[in-house]
Amino acid sequence: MSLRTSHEQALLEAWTRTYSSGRVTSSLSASTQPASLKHRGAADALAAWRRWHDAKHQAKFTDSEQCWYSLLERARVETLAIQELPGMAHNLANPVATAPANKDMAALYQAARLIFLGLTADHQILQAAPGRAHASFLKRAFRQLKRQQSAAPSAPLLSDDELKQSLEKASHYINESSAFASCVLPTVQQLARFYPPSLPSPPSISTRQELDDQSEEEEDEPTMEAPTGAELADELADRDDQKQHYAVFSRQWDTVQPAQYWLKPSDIEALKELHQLDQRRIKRLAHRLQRRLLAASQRRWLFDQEDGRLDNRRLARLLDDKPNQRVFRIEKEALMPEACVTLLVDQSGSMDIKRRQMAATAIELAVHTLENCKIRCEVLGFTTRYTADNPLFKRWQQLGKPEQPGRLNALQHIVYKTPEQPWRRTKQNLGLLLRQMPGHENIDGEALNWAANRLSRQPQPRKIMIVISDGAPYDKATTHANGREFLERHLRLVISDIEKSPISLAAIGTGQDVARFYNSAITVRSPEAVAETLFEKLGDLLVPAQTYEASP
Amino acid sequence: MSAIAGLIHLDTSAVDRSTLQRMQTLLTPYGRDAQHSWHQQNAGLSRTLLRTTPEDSLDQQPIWRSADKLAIVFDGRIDNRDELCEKLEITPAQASLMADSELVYRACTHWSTEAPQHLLGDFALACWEPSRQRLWITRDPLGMRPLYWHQQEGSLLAFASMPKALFAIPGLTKAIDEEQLHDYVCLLPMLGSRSFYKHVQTVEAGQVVTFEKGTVSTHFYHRFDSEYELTLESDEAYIDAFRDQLDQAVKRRLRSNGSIGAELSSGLDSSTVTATAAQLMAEHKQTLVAYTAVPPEAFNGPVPRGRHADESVGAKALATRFDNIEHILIRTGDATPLDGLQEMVELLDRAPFNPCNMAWWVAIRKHAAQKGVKVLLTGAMGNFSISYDGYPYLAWLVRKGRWLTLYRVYKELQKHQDTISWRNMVRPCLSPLVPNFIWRWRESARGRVFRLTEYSAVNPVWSKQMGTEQRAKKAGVDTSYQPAWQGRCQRIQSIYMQDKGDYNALANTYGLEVRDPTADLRLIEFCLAVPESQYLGGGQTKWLLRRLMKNILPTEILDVKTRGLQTADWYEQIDRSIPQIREELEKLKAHGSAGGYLDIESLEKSLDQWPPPENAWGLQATELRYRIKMLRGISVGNFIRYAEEENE
Repeated sequence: MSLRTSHEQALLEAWTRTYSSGRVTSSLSASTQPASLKHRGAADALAAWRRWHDAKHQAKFTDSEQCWYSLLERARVETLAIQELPGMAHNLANPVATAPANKDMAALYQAARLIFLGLTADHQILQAAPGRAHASFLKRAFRQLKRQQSAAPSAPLLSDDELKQSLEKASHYINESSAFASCVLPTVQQLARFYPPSLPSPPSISTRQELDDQSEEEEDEPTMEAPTGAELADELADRDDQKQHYAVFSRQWDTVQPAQYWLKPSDIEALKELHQLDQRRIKRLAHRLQRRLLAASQRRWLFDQEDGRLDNRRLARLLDDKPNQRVFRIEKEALMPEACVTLLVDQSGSMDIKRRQMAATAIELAVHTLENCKIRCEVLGFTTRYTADNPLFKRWQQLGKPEQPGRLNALQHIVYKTPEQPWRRTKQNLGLLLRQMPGHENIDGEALNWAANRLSRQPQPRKIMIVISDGAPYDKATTHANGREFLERHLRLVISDIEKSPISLAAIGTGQDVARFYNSAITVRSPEAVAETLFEKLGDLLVPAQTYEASP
Repeated sequence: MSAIAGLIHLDTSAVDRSTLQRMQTLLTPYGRDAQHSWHQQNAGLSRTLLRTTPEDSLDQQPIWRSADKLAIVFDGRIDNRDELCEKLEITPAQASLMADSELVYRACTHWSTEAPQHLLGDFALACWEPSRQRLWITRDPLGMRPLYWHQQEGSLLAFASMPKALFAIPGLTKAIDEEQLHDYVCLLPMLGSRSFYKHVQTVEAGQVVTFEKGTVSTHFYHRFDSEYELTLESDEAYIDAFRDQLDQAVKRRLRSNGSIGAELSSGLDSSTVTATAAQLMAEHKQTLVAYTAVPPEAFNGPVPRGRHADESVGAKALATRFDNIEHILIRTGDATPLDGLQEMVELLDRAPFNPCNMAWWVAIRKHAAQKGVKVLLTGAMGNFSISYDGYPYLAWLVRKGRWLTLYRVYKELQKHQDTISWRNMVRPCLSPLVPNFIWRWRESARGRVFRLTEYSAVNPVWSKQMGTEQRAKKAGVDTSYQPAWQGRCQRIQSIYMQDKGDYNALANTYGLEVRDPTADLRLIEFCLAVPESQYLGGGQTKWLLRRLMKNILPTEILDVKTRGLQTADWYEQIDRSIPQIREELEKLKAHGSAGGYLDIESLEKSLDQWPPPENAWGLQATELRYRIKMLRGISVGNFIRYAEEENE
């Protein structure tokens, strides 16, 4: 036992020397540690703590505040790990898996993680008033509890909105541990007052975990429903544009609507015409993708291994003159984890009818294929609402054309299909995609941000977003007032943020090179190539490259 | 052949690998076989490779040796490997295991910025010396490989084979350089280091650009000599020397890891290249695939005087002379000039100069690539090297008072061509010598000087703002096209106006490399040094080449009195593309800035007057109005829409 401890100590020292620049960091308290240390992300969370946490800032907090500060500090260091180390980003992708056991702390931790990544935390952070929340535990001592509550000072007022604002403010300092500690100090003090000191310490991890599991299931249900227009509008309003050095003149006219809202009977007629096109080749490609996905999702055996389960068919090798030890087999787990795919389509005026037809055909078959393979999929579209008669532009002119007004057109974001909706009920919406929209513009940065926020809320560990676009972001009014680089700069920032997050982002450029914006991009020159590229890209993203361990 | 790119952070911050990766992705179509990058501290280099030579399989770029403290990326082909190895003391056994890039690396370590002087071939090169924080980039003396660069004051330095890779840099937009665009639309030469894009510069042919300690310095390591003249003992000696130079130039371009093809028209240049290559390849029992673009089979339309539409007659006659030529005729069918125009603009990062020819140009490359051809030979620079006609010699003789020689040349010409009289001689003898205003007046009176608006789609208001005439004068361009009397200077000036780099890179996207033996540096230097009397003699123009190829080329090529016309069915193609042109003009009208550069109204008027009267088909004015003005205008319009993206 002592040997093992000394070995661990040696490893710890080596780690400290190598990765922590010789800095010795304090251990993470048990209450703020990940609930389950078996998860790969938990190990990375602890590693991130050792790498980025600076113990000297703990002195700013009292004993009762330490656990809350540690919790927020954990969210900070893990955000840094996600941004800097792609491997860790993958393991830390799911904040639920690395959350502490305590439910209140878990809610705060998850919110902090999302907000520090520039995403929106839409779940409830502060649970019911502490006294009410724990009444069930204290039924048997009801009177005693009541006396304690009456004796205790009343819980200070602290709302979710305030907390989120504080976290957003703190997100600007995630690279500076000292500034971060100072920034979160008032929040931590409030939290310490809000929750009685006894609450954060987990009574028993196993018991609490069971309770949490139950309550999480109950809480997850509402998120499975399609988001309403009001929620989406709130989401847009909450986005931190300042962080991206971006401005919006007004969001008053922005819309996010399901495609049915805009759909006309003529669009459905156009869709019927689409079905008359020769789709044989695209169907063949879709079948190929389906076979690839299904093959990847099946378990399979690796033979000729040096350990594992005995392989009866290879036992004879042991009797050879030169006995071969490779008579074992290992069952290989499915390569393809659960995933959610978002297809985001540019619907600006430059997307001509042929490109739209091919995009619609490709999307229809891709979604159908993904559904067959039990992969959830969301289809979104984006453009702007106004062409010549632009109320934002007029308002800006009326106000005397103030400098750098920001985006000067209203967004039109279209939800063709949410991940929860079955395709059979929504595929007629694609008719809207076939409608030509001359003069309508594309503000890609905000569209990507919107789609990424929606995707990040999905529970699947693997998140994939594919953008089908035909060029750079452009809005005439916005470009006129802010310069051509304004929208391009924002798009680059949004892409950079998304690429640092657990979302795998790829783009298919139909015509123009989109590779100057996206790290993973393919440009297709002919509309016919859209489907081929989309299926290939989906296959590559969903089925990770295999490493063959078996030797010949 | 490769495409190369690099990124240097001048503030010594760590290189932005993400941007470097995007630059590499954008250049991948130009080098589909391998893509690699290298980065260290504030510098990153990238190259994408198309394997066209056997040695390309050994290519491992970017090359960085910490011992030498030098990193390079090289795009191109070295034609003097043996010479270089000798100078660098590399044994043949060692050289056989070295890619061209490795030899260039050795040259860079040995000669530093002097290295390009020792290299022969088509190349672009970048060399980074981290210890000195110095980058130098260069191109071959004929600019056969492209190279562009961009600098953000004090913070960033970047270079790339194509401008598109530079636009991966955050903050750099595709803002158009209006002056360069103006010159291009007005058919003025685009000289100097400016490109079509405001913030992107090009490395000029034969130039080294050095960036060190925040300063940029340039120098030309190669310039053609207009004074040097080669003197040999006899006319035959010139032929022997010419044969040797031509054979060497072609031989240097036969190093390939796949089949070899050639563009074969009925002209002297391409047929000389094809015949020479076939002769050399026959020694190794190799087959040459020759491509000739021909109009549709039923085509019988009018062509201008002195031109012929079907180039297959001469080409077939040549192909039958060689057992190892596989001759393929390319017909573009129902293709129109606008079919692949957008794709072409995107791949070239510029407006194609002659969109009418792009259909067969692309068709040949696609067919060749499918056939496994890795090298396609052309004779595009022949007019300035092997097939120079020698006409300025007549005016030179007049100017120098060599009357007896002039009389002898005249008699020889008359002997060879019965129709020649002393009246015919007046124009070539005197027109280069008369003052320009007289020439201009005379040509105008005869209706041979065209106004700018007759052949260019430039918006007249914009043209006035830019001062087209003044710009032309400043660039030394004579818009009346008065002939020159100094043949050598004229050819040198024309060579400097050529920039084939982007088009050669475009060919790489089809999976092959275009090589032009008539653009061989040593061959051009030889041709420039040959006395003018060797080009106009024996009663013939292009005398040097005609003598050399006398028993090799068929009479259908050597003695033909007319010149082949590329895309002779251009008006049929335009007729088919009228709806596309109308749609394109609508887009240009809706575009925010295209109308400011182009005279869309006049293009629409031309379209409304289509088709022209039957008797106007063969007129030069008709060709200028539609083939040149309209199609080039559409091409430039497409480029404007590409650079300044909108949702019209």
